[in-house]
Amino acid sequence: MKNIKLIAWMFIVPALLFMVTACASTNKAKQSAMISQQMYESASNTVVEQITEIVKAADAGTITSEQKRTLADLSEFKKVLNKYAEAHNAYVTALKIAETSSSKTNDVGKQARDLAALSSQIIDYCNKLGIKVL
Amino acid sequence: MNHNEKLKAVLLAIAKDDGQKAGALGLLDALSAAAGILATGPTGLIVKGFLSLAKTVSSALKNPTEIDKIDLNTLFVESVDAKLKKNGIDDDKINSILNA
Repeated sequence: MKNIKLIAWMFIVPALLFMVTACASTNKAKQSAMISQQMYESASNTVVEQITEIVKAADAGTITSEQKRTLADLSEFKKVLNKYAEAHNAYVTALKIAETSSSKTNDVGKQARDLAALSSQIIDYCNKLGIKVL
Repeated sequence: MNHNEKLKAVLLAIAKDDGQKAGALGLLDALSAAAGILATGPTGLIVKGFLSLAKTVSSALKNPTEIDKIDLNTLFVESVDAKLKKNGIDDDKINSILNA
């Protein structure tokens, strides 16, 4: 559960940074994308490691009931993470278009707002699991 | 309204309206202060995570000239499902364990 708490924290702060800076300038938007990427990688890798460890225990026939409950939680959480990855990539794509296009676009701001909404889902998930994020 | 719900309310407000950015900045300050309190407590992984996070954010924000050099193509991420697939794990496998 501590790892999940850590993941929750790691999403909330960068998500806010993301939203605060995303619409300011291309440079800051790029900084935000970089931070978002690093935090996502850290969180997703933790989830992958934990799921892999539990699956190995199941294959070896040594899985505990607690591990099974954790796997169920991680399985739900990974769905949110997958959506976050998709939203993050859409944001980076919008940045690429903004960087190469001479015409202004609202896509960067829109994608940033989508990520903000997704962060809200992550908080919902933390509430569901009884994870205190602050 | 608990703290998670307050966070959610602010996030949703920002998602709807760019004009809420000032409020988000205030909340960010509050979170930073809370992080400072947590960092002094015996909270193990959370402390480690925040130190890492602070370092990452600080590094990114203090080197704006380096930002220009970043290739956006390197910022894309891989889904959790794709990462698990490399380990030979998919939803069917997970569900078979959960349903056993």
